[in-house]
Amino acid sequence: MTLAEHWPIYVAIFVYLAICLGIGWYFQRRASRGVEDYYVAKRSVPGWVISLAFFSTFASTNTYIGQAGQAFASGLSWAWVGVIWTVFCMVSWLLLGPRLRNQTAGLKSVTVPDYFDFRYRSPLSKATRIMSALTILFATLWYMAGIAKGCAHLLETVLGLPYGWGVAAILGFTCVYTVMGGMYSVLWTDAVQGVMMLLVAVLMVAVPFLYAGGVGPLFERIANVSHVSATGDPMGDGLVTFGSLVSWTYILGIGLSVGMKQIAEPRCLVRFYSVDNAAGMRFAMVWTPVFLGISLVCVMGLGALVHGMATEREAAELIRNTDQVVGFMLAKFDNGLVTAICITGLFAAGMSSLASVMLIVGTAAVGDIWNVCKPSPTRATVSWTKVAIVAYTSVVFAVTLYPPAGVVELTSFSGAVFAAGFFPAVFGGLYLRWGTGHGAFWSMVVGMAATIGWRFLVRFRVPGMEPVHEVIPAFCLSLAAYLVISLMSRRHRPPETHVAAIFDA
Amino acid sequence: MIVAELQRLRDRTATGRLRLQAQRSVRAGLAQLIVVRRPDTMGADGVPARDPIAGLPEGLGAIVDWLTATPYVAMIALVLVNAWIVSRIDIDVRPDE
Repeated sequence: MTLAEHWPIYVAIFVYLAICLGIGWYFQRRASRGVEDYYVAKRSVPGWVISLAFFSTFASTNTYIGQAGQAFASGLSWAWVGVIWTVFCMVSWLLLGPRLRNQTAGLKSVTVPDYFDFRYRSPLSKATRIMSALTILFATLWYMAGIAKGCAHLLETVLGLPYGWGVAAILGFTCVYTVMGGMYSVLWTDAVQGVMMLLVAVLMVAVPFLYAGGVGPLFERIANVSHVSATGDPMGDGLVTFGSLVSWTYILGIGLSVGMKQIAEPRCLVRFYSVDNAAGMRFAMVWTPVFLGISLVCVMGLGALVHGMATEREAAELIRNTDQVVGFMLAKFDNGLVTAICITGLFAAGMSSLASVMLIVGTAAVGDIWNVCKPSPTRATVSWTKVAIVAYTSVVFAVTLYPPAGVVELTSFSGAVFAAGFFPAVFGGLYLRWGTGHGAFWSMVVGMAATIGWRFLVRFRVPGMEPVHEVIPAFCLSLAAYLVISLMSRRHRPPETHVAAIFDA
Repeated sequence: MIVAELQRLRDRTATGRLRLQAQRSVRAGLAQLIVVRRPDTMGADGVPARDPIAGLPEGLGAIVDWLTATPYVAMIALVLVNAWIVSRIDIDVRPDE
């Protein structure tokens, strides 16, 4: 593991980091002009940037390593998870995008928790805002630790960089450009990272074909593999037969629990706030599912194709360690340039997701908790947000150095918390004039309680319930709670003039 | 130990392959045509022995099988439908005040 050995990787990462830091430096002054600049980039970012940013924020190293590797065990059926995710991407942009952009601009909302406050204007609005901000702070910790851990392991495996240094590098660089340029640098670096991720997805799927010598030879190899599944049974034609190696309920569970993040997680929703105009919105509505779809088409079935590169012995190892499939593929292909580009792209995938949530936790801590308790002037709010981002990142660093068991599980769990806790309040706020703050507050409580309850009391304790992901019952209960409690608390509806200003403007 | 395990896996694989050859379903056949060109569908010159289009059975079941075997077709259809929907709706974005 020497510098001479890995110079293409070092050069690629250096160039990439220089671009990210340069973007942060470029936007530093503009971002510091005020809260609306720092938090939502003054709602003036072109649609194509937002589109790429949405895609790169949603997809992460987990997608490019974990999900790609999963197809090694599940076959091409696993690509259906990508279809479900793309459906949610469409739903998110079609149903939430334009409305959320317009309502938040009218309400002068700059975060998702303050949208709940300004939209519902009820005795529970402030409580809803603080509770949702606390939820963000809690759930994001595990998410960030999971992403940083994955990237650090990648650097450790490929470059021999000690784990702790890898964690410090990924968190440190991301924190620097996020703090400098706020939402401007997050969105523009996300766009750069999105382009890189698209290219890397195409390059990664090309590797098995190049290795085998073309489409026909690779498919012949796959057709002739004598590999076995994780249970020891022969795969046969399972790699290309729907539902043979993985159940439909499992595909649906992962598809829903991860895909629904796009309609509920603040890091995705806040993207809509910054779109500059109708043309930009239309571009993003059409092209975001295309960008996501292309990358998922390439990535989600990749593991199945890697069977064409593996011997029986290698496949028997990989089937039990699917996270190593992508690393194995690059090592077996053994091309310094391809490895350098792919590693940089994977690094970018992790950093794009990290930067987005870093800004979200800063705005939640200062804008939605500190400022609600003790309002501060604009400049102080921006400065304290920067401090909060650095402080929170330090906590994430400590957690990632000593990660609790099951960080990956907690990461997927946090997605379910957001989907069940936030979606009814967001959707009801956008579409239901009669939705109330009480409905929003209690739907969050019910959603989060049901998520925790199902996971820890039902799913792994009641026979036959394991395939039913907690997001499904929790989401249904949360939505029902929103509707029922909103109807029961009519007297707490916001004034009609307020509702008319939101819906009829 | 490892050699014995590999031998066991080889035996199971060989049995499974024989069973699969005997039980090849319409779905698997379609998947071969569309996703995987297996040797038995190839001519000696490497060109598919059967025309994939001519090989498609008629009926709804075949379409469902075809779609489930190839999520990529669904993905393309999805983004095209999305583009059509977006082209049909009015989008208004309020300027920042």
